[in-house]
Amino acid sequence: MSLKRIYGLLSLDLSDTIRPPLLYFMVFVITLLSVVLAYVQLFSTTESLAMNILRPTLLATALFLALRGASGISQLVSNRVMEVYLSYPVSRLSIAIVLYISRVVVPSILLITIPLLAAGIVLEPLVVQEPSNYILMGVSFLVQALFYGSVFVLIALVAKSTGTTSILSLLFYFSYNIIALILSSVSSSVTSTLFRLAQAMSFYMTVYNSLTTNIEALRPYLWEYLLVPSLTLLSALTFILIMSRRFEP
Amino acid sequence: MAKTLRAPIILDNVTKTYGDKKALSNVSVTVKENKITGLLGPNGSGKTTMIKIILGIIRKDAGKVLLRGRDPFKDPRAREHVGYIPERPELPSSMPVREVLITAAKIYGSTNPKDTVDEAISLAGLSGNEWKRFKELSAGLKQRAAIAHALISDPDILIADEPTSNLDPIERVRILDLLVDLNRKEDLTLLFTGHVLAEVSRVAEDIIVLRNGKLLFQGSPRNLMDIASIVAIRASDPVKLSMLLEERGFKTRHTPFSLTVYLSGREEIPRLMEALAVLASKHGIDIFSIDTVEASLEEMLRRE
Amino acid sequence: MDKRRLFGGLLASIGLALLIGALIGSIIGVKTSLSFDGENYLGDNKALIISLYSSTSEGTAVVEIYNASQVFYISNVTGDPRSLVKALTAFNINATQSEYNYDMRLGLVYGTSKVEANSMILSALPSLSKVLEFNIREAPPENGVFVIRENMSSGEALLVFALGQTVSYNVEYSVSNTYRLPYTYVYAISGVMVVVGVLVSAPWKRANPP
Repeated sequence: MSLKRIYGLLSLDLSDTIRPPLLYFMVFVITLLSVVLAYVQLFSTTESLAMNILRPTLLATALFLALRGASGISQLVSNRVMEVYLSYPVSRLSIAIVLYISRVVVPSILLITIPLLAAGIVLEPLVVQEPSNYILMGVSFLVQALFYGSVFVLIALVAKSTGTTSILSLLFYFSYNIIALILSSVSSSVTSTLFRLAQAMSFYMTVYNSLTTNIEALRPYLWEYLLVPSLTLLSALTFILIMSRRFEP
Repeated sequence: MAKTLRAPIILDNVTKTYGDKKALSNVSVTVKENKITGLLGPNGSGKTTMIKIILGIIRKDAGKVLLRGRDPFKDPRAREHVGYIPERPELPSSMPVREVLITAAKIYGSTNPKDTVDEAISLAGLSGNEWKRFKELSAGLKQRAAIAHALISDPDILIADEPTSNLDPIERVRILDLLVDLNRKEDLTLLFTGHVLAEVSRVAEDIIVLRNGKLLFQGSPRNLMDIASIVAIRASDPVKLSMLLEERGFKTRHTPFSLTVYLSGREEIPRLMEALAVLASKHGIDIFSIDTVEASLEEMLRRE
Repeated sequence: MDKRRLFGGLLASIGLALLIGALIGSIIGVKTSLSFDGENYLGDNKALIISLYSSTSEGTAVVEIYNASQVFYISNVTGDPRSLVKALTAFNINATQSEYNYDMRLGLVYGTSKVEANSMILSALPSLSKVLEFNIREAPPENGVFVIRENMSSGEALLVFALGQTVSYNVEYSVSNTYRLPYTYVYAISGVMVVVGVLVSAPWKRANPP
């Protein structure tokens, strides 16, 4: 299978996923938000900077992934453009991978990297001191965004309607975060398994804790590092498998 | 556009089920190379399902499908040089139609996408509208854009699902004529679906008829007409005549003023004439007129 | 996909947001210093805790206590001082009145708590160092004024315990480094981004229909 063909399909689908003006608007809003947050607070470590900038950005990214990324896949089905994709001489596996990249990976990278870069310009003297931690935090937020996106596109394959996909995706996002909050509140101490689980449900919290804590008892366990990346991988593979083997528009 | 000899479309005992409903049931057909084949059937007869299975868009449950000698669901090379015009066509509207076509030409592996697209736009009669976005086009131009999109694959086989639906009568004729023209000029195999017998039989050299997912007929339009003869009779007592003809094995429908007899072929006409002569004299029924009429697809299917 | 137009649009959007963000920052940006003071009547068996917690900033804190009989302090301890004050209940040192503020623009949590306990325990606070795992030190008076000067890193807290009948205090906190790129640089970068973005995505440069 020629890579040129796959690249062609990726360009075609990306032109829909990241089409202006919504993309420009989203980029403008999250950049402005991150720059203002960078200006009105003082930071002395890059991990705390990344944490403060990217937490609100992650919500915006999740909204974009639900409303444009995943529901975009449902829209491809409902307006029959998916049939056109499937009629191209490109394997179903390639189409599935292209859709995952276009609907999840590219928007996540854009919406996480851009505010990180903008805040990095404002606080350049700080970021150059510890760029590795800054990048590591960015990657951890990216993994979390990929996790949400992977679940959302999986929902899209089942729901097949744009409205249902959007509603179910947002329902998942808020339920997931509320569950994490409840687990954190009911846990007896910061070293309890429940508390650790609540923290591990947000991969960036695990990474942040590992970068900031000096206390051995508070250091994340291995399973905490693996939880969200494993779920992301599992959801992404399930999406690709269903799309390439069983999906019918 | 370069042509090479390739295998036609073959379906062998293909079955497809959606839940409890059998969309296709043991359908076996062959689409002949470089011919125009019309796929006829009422709504829900399985035409679109068959088209989607031929293209590998959906799976078959059983049987064998070959498109250009390959299984289209498993082998994407089967779809090379195959153009597809979907029912109510849709293309991405995120960029002008020309840009969409250039990107699609790259997907089809065109070495010179811009020239390929310009040729397709010209052949499809889309010139002057190629810089508009798909959603900005009229229904007729959307159909032409879809035809241009199908042509950029440098097709040997063109598959069109209801290419004239949602169009006004003049545009229906134009689009069908365009497809026929392409078949002649480009030497391509054309498979298209429709549900108006007169329209399909006007251009098709071979006709496939589906009903409730089953193959009813495959052959020339002439043969289809032969099996689809209908005789309209005006008589003094159509109700009684209808009952008497039914007793003799004819399928009929009647109103208080007229009677329609559905024949399984033109060869049945002499037998009908004989029966009418006997029944008229025996039961004192006056026959005012007897006309043979061309059956519409709906009438033919109703009879089955 | 018109990649040039997309890139130009993105660059212009980022540049414009950066420019507006910098303008907002110049109006309501971070603060670099804070000072507050007060006077508290304590009476017997009570102490005043003055707390500073540099949640995201780093700087120097100077706490001056007047009219106190004894002053102890815990410095360079990580964590929120409100939690640390709560932890003292294990030693029957109970907070009766607390007032804390969070200044986001300064990256500082600050405030006071009045605690009640046996005066013997309060006077012997340094002896709790081992149990609490904090180093509780006693501040020496200079001309009757207790002065504690501490450099605080991000995430560190300073707790000052003042014992006496009526205690006055004066606190100053100054940020040592804001790590900001000068505004002129940010304006210049964002301006270039907007101009380049607009030029790159300029409609007159696109391959337009005839």
